[in-house]
Amino acid sequence: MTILQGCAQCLDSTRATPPTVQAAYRHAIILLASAGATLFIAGTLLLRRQR
Amino acid sequence: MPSTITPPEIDRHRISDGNNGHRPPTDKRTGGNGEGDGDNWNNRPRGHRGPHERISQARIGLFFALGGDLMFFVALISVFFVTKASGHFDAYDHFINSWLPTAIPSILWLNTIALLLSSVTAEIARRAMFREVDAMDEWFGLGRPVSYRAAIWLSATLALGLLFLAGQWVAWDQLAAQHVFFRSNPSSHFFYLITITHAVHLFLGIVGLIVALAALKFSRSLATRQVWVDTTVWYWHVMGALWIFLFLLLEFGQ
Amino acid sequence: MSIPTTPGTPPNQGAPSSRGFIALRWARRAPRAIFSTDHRIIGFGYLVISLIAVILGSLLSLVMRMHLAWPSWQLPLHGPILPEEYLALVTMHGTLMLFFVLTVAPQSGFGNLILPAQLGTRHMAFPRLNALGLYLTALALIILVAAFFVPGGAPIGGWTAYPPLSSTPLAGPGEGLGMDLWLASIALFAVATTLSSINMLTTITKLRCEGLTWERLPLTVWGWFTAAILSIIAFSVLLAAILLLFCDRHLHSGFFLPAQDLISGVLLQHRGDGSPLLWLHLFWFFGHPEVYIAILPGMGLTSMVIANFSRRRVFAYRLMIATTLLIGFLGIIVWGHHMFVAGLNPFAGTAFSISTIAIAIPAAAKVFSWLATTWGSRPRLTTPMLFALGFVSLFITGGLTGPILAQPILDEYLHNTFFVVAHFHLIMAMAGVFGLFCATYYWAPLLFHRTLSEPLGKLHFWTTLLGAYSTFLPMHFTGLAAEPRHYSQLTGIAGPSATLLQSTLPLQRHITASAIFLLCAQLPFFLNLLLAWRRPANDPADANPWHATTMEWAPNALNPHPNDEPSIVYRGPSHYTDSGKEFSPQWSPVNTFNTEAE
Ligand code: HEM
Ligand SMILES: [Cu+2]
Repeated sequence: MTILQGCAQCLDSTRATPPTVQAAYRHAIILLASAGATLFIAGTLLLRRQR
Repeated sequence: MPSTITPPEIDRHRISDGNNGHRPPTDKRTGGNGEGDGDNWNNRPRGHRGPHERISQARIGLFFALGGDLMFFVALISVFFVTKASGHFDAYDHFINSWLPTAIPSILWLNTIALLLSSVTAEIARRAMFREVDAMDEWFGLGRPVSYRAAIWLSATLALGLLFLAGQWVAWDQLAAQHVFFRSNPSSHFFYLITITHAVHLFLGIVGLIVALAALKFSRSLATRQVWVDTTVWYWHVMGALWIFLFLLLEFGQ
Repeated sequence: MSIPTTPGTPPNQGAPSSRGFIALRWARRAPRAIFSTDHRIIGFGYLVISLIAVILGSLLSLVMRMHLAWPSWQLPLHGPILPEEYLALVTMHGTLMLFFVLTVAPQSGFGNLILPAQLGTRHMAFPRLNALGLYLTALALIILVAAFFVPGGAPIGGWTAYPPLSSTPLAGPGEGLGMDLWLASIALFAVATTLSSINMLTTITKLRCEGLTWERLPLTVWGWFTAAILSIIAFSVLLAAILLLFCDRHLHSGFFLPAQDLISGVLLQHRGDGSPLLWLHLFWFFGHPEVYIAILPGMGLTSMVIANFSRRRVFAYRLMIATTLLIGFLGIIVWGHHMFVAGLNPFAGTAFSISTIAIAIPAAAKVFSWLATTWGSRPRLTTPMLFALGFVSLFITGGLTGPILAQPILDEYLHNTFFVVAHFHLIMAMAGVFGLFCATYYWAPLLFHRTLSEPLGKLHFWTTLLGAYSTFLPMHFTGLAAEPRHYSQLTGIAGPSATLLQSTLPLQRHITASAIFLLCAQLPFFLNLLLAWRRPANDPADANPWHATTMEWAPNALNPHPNDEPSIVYRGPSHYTDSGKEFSPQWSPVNTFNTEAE
C-alpha cells in the first residue's frame, strides 16, 4: 500500500465507507475537476482563436 | 450592454498601410523571443468586421457567463450524486440510505415540450434578424420587416417560456399537495433546488426576451436589435439544453 | 455610449495640472463619478474598497497578535479578548484580506486602471456590467463589516466556514446572524467578481488593438486573463456551496451534516447523511484557485517590471505565457491538498498530492525566468524594481514550503500548525502585497501624474521586507514546535504540550513586535502618497519616466482623446537593444528610441 498516503484515521474512515459512497465521491471529484479544466481550456482557446 | 451602442473604434477608422490595402502593420521581431510564424499578423484571418464584431463580443461575454453557470450546476450535480449515495450504519451495522426518490410530476414532460418548442420559435426569430432581403427593405425605407417577423416569433417564445414557468409552478403545487416539500427528503431537496435555480435562470431569460422585444420596437439601429435578439436566443437555447439534462437527471437519475 | 473621458482638457494634455491627484479631480465631480461607467473611475473605486479593507484587516491582525503574545492584554475601550472574539478576529481578518484586498486590488483595481490601456482600447467590453460589479463589491463589504455590529457579533468559523461550525447558531456566538451576513456578503462578492471577470475576459478577447497578437500581450494581461478565467470557474462553485449551506442553516436540509450531530450539548437531527467533507470539496475547489487569483496578476507584473528595469526581454517569454496558463490550469485540480487530514480517501490524497507537487514545476520555471532576466544585467534598482525583486524573494521562501505541505505524511503533522500560516503569509499575503506596492510605485506616474519619492520608497521597501521576514519566518519554527492555528490562547494548557508551547512564547513576542514594526513600516508609503499629492504634476513630456515599452505608457494611453487615432501595436513588449540604452516601445512604428536622446 505504498501509494496510499494519508493519516490512519482517514484510512479507517475510508475503509468504513461503503464502496458506493467512495465511488460517488470519486465521481464528484472527477466531474468537478474535468468540468473546470474543460472550461479553462475552452476559454483559452477562445482567446487564441479571436484574431 | 453599452457594447451594443458604441461601435468599436476599429470599425470607425481603418488604417491603410499604403500598398496592401487594409493590412495591419507587421513586424517579424515580435514579443519576447517569439520567432515562430504564429505571431505573424499577415497570416491571420482578417476576422469579421463591422456589425458582426458587436455580436461576436456579446456572444463571447455570454459564453463566459454561461461557463460560470455551468460550473454552478456542475457543483449542484456533484453534491446530488454524493448525497444520493450517502448513508449511515445503524445499531445493527446495516447501511441505511435515506434517499427516497421523488416521484416527478408528469406535467414536467409537457413543460419540457413547451420549452423545446420555445427554442424552435426563438431560433426562427433569431434567423429572421439576419435575413438580408428584409434588412434591405428596411434600408430602402419599406417598413421594418426584420423587427416585425422577429417580434412575432419572440412573442411566441415569451408565451411558451411563461407557459413553462407556469407549468413548473403547477408541478411544485402538485408535489405540495402530496406533502412533498423541500425538507421532506434529500431527493426532494434536489428536486426543488434544481427546478428553482433553473426557473430563476429562465426568468432571467424572460427578462432578456422582454428587453429584446423592446429593442425590436424602439431601437433604430438594426445592429442593436440583432445583438439583443441573438444573445437572448442563445441564452435561451442553453437554458433549454440545460433543462433537458436536468430533467433527465431528475427523471432517470434518482 | 461614448466614454466620458474628461470633459474639458484631459489632465494629461496641455499644461500640467498643478492641483491634486487625477483621482481627486474626478472625485470633485463626485455624483457623476460614483455612477460612472468609466473603467478608470471604477478601478479607483476598487482600490478605495481594498484600502479600507486592508486597513481594517491589519488592525484586526494586530489585536490578534497582541492577544497571542500577551493573553491578558486588554484592548482599550473593550477589555480582554475572549476566545470567541479571537475566532471572530481570525475569520474577519482572513475574509477581508483574501476577498476584499487580494482579490479586489490586483484584479479589479489595477486591472481596470491599466488593462484597457495595455490592450490599446479606450473602453471595456461591458462598462455597465463592470460598474455593477463595483457596487456589488462595495455592498458586500458593507454587509460583511455589519456582522461586527449585530447580536452575537462576527462569525467565528474562519474564512473557510467549515460546517458544522458554520451550520448552526448553536455552534457559538456569531454563527447566527453574523454568519448569515457573512454568507450574504460572500455570495454578493462571488456574483460581483463573476460579472467583472466576464467583462475583463471579453475585453481581452475582443478589444485588443491592431497588431496585438497572442504573443505580444504583456504578461500582466496574461496574469489578468488567467485569474479572470479562474474567477469564473471558482466563484460559481462557491456560490453553489453557499446556497447549499444556506439551505442547511435555514431549510433543514443536511448536505454538509450527518444525520445526527451533538453541538454544544444539543442533539441536532438532519435529513440525510451529509458530510462536512462535501463542503470542504466545494470550498477548496474554489479556495485553491482563489489563492492563484490573488497572485497571478502580481506574477505578470513582476515579470514585466523586472524586464523593464533590467533593460532585457523577459527570459523565455513564450514559456512564461505557458507557465501562467499551466499554473492556472493545474490550480483547478489540486484542491484536495487542503483536505489531507479531513477524512479524504488516501487514494484521492495521493492523486491530489501528485498534481500539487506538479505545480512546483511551472512555479519554478517562473522563478528561473525572473532570475535569468536580471542575471548580470545591472538593473536599475528603483523602488518598483525592488518590490518586484522582493516579490521574487518572498515567492521563493514561501514556495519552498509548498511541496513540503503537499505531502500528506508531512501535512498530517503540519496542517493545523503555524507552519501553514507561515507558508501562505509569505507566498500569498506578503508576495501579493509586494505586487500591489510594485504596481503603485510603477504606475504612479500614470495614475497620479507624479513619480513617488525614491528615498521614501526605498525606506518603505527595506523596512517592509525586514518586517515581513521577521514576522513570518519565525512562524515556521513555532509551527514545527506544534503551535496550533486558530487557538486563541497557548498558555494555561495542561500536559506535556504546554512545555513545548511555553518554549515558543519568546518567539511569539518577537513575532508580535515584528508585526507592529511591519505596520509602522507602511507609514513612509502613505507619507509618500501625501507628499506626491502636494507636489506639482510631472511634465507631460516625461510621461514615460521608466522608459517602459508596454502600451499603457504610450502618450495619453490612460486618457485617450476620442479623436485620437486608434492604437496600433508594432511589436512585443520589453524590446531593448543589447546595450540596454535603446528601446522600442510597442506603439512606436520606428524601431528604436534612444533613452538618452530625450
Ligand atoms: C509550489 C506551490 C505551492 C504548493 C505545493 C502549495 C501547497 C500547499 C498545501 C499543501 C497547503 C495546505 C496546507 C495545510 O492546510 O495543511 C497550502 C496551503 C495554503 N497555500 Fe499553498 N502551495 C503553493 C503555493 C501557494 C501560492 C502561490 C499561494 C497563494 C498565492 C498559496 C496559498 C496558500 C494558502 C492561503 C494556504 C492556506 C489556506 C488555509 O488553510 O486557510 N500557496 N499550500
Ligand atoms: Cu492550495
